[in-house]
Amino acid sequence: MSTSRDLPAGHVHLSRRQVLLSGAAMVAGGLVSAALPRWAFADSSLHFIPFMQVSRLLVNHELDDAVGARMLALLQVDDPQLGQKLSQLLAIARSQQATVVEAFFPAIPAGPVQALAYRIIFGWYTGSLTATRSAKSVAFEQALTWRTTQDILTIPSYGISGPNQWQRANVPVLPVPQF
Amino acid sequence: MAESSLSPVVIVGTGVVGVVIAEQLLDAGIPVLMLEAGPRVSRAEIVENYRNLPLAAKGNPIECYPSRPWAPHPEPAGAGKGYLQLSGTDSYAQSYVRYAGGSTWHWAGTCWRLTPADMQLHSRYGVGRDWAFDYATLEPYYTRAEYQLGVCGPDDQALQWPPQRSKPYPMPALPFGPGEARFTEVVREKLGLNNIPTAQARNSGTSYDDRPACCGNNNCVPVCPIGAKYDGATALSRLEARGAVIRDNAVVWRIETNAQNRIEAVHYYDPQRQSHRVSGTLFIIACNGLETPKLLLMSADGRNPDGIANRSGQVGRNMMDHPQITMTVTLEEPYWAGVGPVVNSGIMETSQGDFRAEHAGAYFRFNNFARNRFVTFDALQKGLVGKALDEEIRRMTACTADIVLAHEILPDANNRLTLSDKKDGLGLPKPAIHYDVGDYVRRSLEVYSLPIANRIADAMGATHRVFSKQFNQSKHIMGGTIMGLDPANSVVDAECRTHDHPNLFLPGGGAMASTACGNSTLTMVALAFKAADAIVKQAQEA
Amino acid sequence: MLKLKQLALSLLLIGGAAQANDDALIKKGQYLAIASDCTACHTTEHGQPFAGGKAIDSPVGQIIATNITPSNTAGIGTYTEQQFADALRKGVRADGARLYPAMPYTAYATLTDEDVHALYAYFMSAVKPVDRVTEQTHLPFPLNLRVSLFFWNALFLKAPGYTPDATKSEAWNRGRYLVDGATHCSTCHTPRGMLMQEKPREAFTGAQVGAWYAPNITANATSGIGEWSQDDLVTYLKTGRLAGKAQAAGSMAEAITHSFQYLSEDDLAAIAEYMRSIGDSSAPASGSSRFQQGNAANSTAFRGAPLTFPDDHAGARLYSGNCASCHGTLAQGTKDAFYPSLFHNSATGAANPSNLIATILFGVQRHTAEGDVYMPPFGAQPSALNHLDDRQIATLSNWILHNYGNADVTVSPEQVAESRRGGPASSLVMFAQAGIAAGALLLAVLIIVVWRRRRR
Repeated sequence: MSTSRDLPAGHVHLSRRQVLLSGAAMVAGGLVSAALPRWAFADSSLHFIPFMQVSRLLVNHELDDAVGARMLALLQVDDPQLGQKLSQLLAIARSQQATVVEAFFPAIPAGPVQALAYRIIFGWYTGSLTATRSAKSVAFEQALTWRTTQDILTIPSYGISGPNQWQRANVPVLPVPQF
Repeated sequence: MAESSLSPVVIVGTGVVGVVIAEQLLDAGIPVLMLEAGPRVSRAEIVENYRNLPLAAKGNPIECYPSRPWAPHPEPAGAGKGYLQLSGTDSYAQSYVRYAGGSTWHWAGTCWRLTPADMQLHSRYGVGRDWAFDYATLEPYYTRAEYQLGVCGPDDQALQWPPQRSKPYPMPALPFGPGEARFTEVVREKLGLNNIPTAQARNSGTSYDDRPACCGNNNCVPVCPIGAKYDGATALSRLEARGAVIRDNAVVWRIETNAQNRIEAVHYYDPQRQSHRVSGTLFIIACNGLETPKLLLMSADGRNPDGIANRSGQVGRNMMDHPQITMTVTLEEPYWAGVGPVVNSGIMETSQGDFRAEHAGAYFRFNNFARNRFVTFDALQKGLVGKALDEEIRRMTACTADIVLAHEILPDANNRLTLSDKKDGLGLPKPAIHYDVGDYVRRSLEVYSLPIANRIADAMGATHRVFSKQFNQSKHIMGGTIMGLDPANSVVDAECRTHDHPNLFLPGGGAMASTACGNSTLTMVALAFKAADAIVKQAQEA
Repeated sequence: MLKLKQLALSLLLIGGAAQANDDALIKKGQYLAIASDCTACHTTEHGQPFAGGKAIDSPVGQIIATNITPSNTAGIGTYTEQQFADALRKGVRADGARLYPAMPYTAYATLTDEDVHALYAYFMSAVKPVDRVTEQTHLPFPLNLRVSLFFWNALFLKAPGYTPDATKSEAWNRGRYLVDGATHCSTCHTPRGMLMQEKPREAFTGAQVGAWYAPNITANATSGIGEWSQDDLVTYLKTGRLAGKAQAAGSMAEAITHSFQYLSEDDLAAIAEYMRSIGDSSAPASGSSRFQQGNAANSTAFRGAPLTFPDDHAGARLYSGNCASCHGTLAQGTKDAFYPSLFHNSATGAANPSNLIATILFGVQRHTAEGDVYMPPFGAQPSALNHLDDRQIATLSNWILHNYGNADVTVSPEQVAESRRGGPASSLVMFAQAGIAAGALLLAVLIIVVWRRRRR
């Protein structure tokens, strides 16, 4: 579904915890525009919009808001400074008039702000925030690592072709498919 | 189903060996009662377990199969954490699945046969043990096993392993992905080696046995989402429709003998640790090469102080596997592993030769898992962003590969499973395994398999190569209830019937007298058919 | 394919001494037998060709197809050509008993004398006789009284033969001849009245066939297949699928597998030409067809979301675990469209969800020159990939319909249960029995009244 949907009435009564943990339920399946009603996210709404703005600057691909909401919820758990860091990243990007990551990443000073930037990129590419077995997963099919090879490889567990129809030439490494 | 005057044969374990024998018994009109330690699960549940894992956990198949507290199997966390008590120079950190359907839930589906030479290591090379019969005797059972599981393989004899076959494969070989095609070219042109299609239990181009054809989900390990790969779970409903009774969450903990030292009953715990006794006239223990000897040892009684079927002292000894080393190569050209099934080809000829008098043979396989999950963390570690990151992930996915060196191993009485003093959730002893792959294997790595691997890496144009630091487990558990003609040094006879108890059978990997280099499942299933013929005869004569 | 080989072998066995003319006649008969799809009912899954024994589920009970091999003891070996023709076109057996219209004699009535002659030659000389008697059909009273069909035929059976329409092309006429006759399309695709007769004014506008629904195949662009080109329809009949539109399952998959894929290009083109001339007088003036519904949409919004009770994402989880492995995480199918997308797919886009439910319950099996198409079932079968209950299938169907198909349609667990049972039952038996009971009561009352009058 490519259009945002009116939220069903019953969701107004969700508890804050449910909203925080089930942000996905609110934006189920959709690419919801950035103008999301603020009340829908309790206090995580404060950071959602800047978080997605930062994400889209750091990762210049189509990003799913639902995945973003889940990632934000995890980031918020152990980072009380998250809002400030997001603001700093936005400020750096603005100062470079950056629309792509290459234009402002070198200007990010090493330290916690750069660490957050790397963490956000990590999250979008892998669907989790750490390379450990106990990491929480926020996405699988939508992890960007699969998109870089979507022209030739399947996402594991999804069929690639009709029976015995997967023979294909070795495609070159470049160019990377558009996504 | 019509009432039978025969009492049901009791089968402990619903893995591939148990379900194959169950079906043979039902075909002969003999009723069957199956006891399974673990739960019945749906395929959808396992598939979603896999998809919900974080990327870093997707490499361990057991992560999709969390143990139940009453039926632990080795796993990184949960009830099965710290289940195996390991000692010795090398690790025996096996994994398997104690669920209905058994470990074929997550196997790769590889179905190599033994060769005639593989079964005569002692008489030909003066090492190891000979089997109790020759290849010609086992061959018809291999055929039955291949048609039962639905094995696909090449028609061309030059590509078959071994080429001595009485019937063609039920289905033609699966096509290679681009990586395997390139690998095949390179090793043939530069090294004169044949990378042949893997004989595998996967439906090739057509449905088989009311299961769909493979459509390249590249997820065979840890689970085939559509049942195109054979797994024991596909047999369960069919067996029940034919009258088999399957009790899940029933952990057999004791085998009971009577005054004649025949098996009288088995006892199992339910999840609430209530014990239930199941009596019978014929018993089959097929609950995996590690759990089976453990159960026999746990059941020691006055008549059998060293464990059931253990007058030889060989129960739990001769624990074997295929010690493996993984070589990860970085390449200049794209290979694109990941198209088609996860294991689709291999070099088997290097497992044969007179050198086996001195050291182990080895089999080399190009692992065909999609490489994204192997390389993405490394790519991110490099601090790349934007286009450079996309290109690096793509390049590493395309231009790296894993080649696995799988070795055969000799039976060593000191490679031994015993009962530790640690207890699991039901208060049953955790198994302890002492293991050392032995000089036969280490010498092979030094003078044979490693040099070949390096030549393969050279042929592929590898710019970088890394080897595992130690021998890892192939998860092919063999030898713990070894077969032989002499009851003094073996546990079961040529029919997998225990020497000590004429109504107890132990078919499966534990009976294998030699490992060769290829995966053990097809041989286990051939033994299951051979045992089934004897069991049917015995049940009907009783 | 195997059955065709068996037929070919039978042909070879007796063909040795035959005259060239006879060969051609038998070949023609064989082609017509394929076009008429006799094997679909008269051959069981592992049985000998045409030896019968297959139980056909009808809304009034099971009807067993007979042995039509030329066996003298168990089949039609003693039939004269006239008796053969009468069975085929009038629904009358050699012993005079009537056939149930599960045998589509109302359609085969269209067959010309020449074609019946060829069929007779084929069945009598090229089919291997099988001396196995099939079980008898036992429908509930009063339908077990075959004589009742005398009246039914009088009302609904047309005279044998085909009269071409001179104002139409040869191809159109050939098409109508096949469609009305051998390929008997209307017996599934035309709705039936109370007495189970086809309703000619609603020809091809769609009808329930057991658990499945044979859809509207008129040329109307909204209600039927009007947006299909001539080539589209030929492709569909040859391969059983049309990417981004439809695929055949249930009885239609059988028909493609055993019959349509073997028809000549000319005949398929003729059928297509005829079908594209059929209107639908009751179709809406405008609207989107069943082929245009739905879009790609992400099915994995629940990843990382904890389970709630009740589960907000139950439908999506069912879809992901059971369907997405072949049909894709966006329901887009595979790139080569071998596994179809679930949007722009008539099975999910139709106003009647029967085919969606039945596909999930029973799977799809088709075998054409393209290859083997096999979707496993998800019902109670031993071979089911996963056993889904009525509520799960309803939840899953609703999720698919609302995300990829006709969002106005809803499925209930009761509908799924009915589909599992083989589809809606007909009330014909009940009414017939009620009618007879009423008639008997009336007769009893009359007898009593008359008797009492006489007594006075």
